[in-house]
Amino acid sequence: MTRSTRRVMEPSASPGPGTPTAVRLGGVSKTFRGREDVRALDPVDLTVPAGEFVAIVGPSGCGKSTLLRIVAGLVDADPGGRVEVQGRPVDGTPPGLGVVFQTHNLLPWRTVEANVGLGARLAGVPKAEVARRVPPMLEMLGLSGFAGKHPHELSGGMRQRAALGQALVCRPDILLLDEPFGALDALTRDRLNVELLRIWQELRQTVLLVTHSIAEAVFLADRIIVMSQRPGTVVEDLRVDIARPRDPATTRALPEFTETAQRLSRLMGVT
Amino acid sequence: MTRRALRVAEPVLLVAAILAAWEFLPGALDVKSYLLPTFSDVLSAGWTARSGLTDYLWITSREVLLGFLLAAAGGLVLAVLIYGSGFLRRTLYPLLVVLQGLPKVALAPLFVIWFGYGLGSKVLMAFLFALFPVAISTLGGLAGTPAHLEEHFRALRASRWATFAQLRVPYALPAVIDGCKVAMPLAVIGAIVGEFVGADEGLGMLIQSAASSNRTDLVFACLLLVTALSFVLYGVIELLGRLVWWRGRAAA
Repeated sequence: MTRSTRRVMEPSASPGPGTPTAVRLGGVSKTFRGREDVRALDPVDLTVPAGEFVAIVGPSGCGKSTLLRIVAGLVDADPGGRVEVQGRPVDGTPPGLGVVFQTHNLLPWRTVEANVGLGARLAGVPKAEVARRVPPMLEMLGLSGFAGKHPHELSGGMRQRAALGQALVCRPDILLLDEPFGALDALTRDRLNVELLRIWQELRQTVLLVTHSIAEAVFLADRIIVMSQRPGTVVEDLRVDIARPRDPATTRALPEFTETAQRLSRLMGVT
Repeated sequence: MTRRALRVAEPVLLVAAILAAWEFLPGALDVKSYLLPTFSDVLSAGWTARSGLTDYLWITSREVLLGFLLAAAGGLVLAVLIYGSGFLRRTLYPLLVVLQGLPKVALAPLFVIWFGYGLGSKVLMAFLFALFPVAISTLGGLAGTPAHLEEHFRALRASRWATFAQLRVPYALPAVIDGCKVAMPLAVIGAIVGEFVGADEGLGMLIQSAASSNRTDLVFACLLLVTALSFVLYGVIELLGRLVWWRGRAAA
């Protein structure tokens, strides 16, 4: 496909005007109906060009996960808004879209290998093809020695890697990550972020990452969407001007990094 | 003594203590042997009647097994149907609950009239006793699939069938096993009750006829066999339950 032949982009270059749009939201809002209605999202507009790494940050309960679920077709937006993925209106999870949640969602009765291949099998990829794709994926995620283990025999970090692997084996054009490393300790989380960055720099999918970690967002993303308290809406849309490929040792020491992180902290009312 | 040996020894010692009390207390308290025969009396009566008892054990076992297997299969099918169809949940499910409230023992005479003194009426009793727990447990297991996994399967664009077969059913299996554990002894009760009401053979029939001629030693011999039957069948289900080892691992 085009991705494999696409030249690695110039450092920090934003996708050009000719880039196709991966996700387009127009006036998307959400109210959860119940005994008392809860307004989760005020109208949100957002356009994500293909290949962009976008982080969505905001305080807890600001509707960032809801926004991601709307893009994934798992939650219906209020009528009136427009949700498009790769130019088609969303109705159920669109093909070519992979989701990784904070809980790993691996099946306890299946081995790591079978879990990693599950998504592709459900998507109708033939068994032989899945069997070809899984081993290199396990290799890439450092899970090679654990193919025959079950999820309960893995550490939390390894489970999240396996969950990420399950999504990647489907070769999605768009990856939605809902705080995928949010439940892990800080050290593991940092390590997985470095791995995620390495994988993304290789594959260059469109990524929408929901996180409440400012450092994570600045380190990984091309662009950061800041959301307000509930009902959430976009209060800031800023570009991260830090060269790629980024590197865990040096990137965090750059003045741009500190400056962007501080700006985000102010926007989120942390400082 | 190792911990493992102790785990085996504890229940064995308890049973031995109960049997010893059974053997020696009636004599010490001067209880008439036709009211409460000693353990050794029961064993010797059982040994004397061994050929008839083994025949009857086989007959009762067959009734229990057939009734139980039909109930397990029927309970599974009922649960899946009720789970899968809103119409059946509104119609069949309440009907099942109402029928469960019916005292099944009271149906036994009818079954004897309808299906005769043979196997059929006993299997039907065992089936009726065992059906409800399997159905209700399975239903609970199916409905207990965690919402986050259901959502994940939707995100993977899994078909309805794939979600059912690869997520809900494996998830429900531990609950199905629990239902079977409740149902198995009930199937034994059902078969015995069926034999009480009308039968030519079987342990339940023998209990009835031995009691009417004051042969309490034979009654107790039958009771020991019925208990052993329940115990063994329960053990088989317990072993089957080890195949669904992922119980409780799901949220890890």
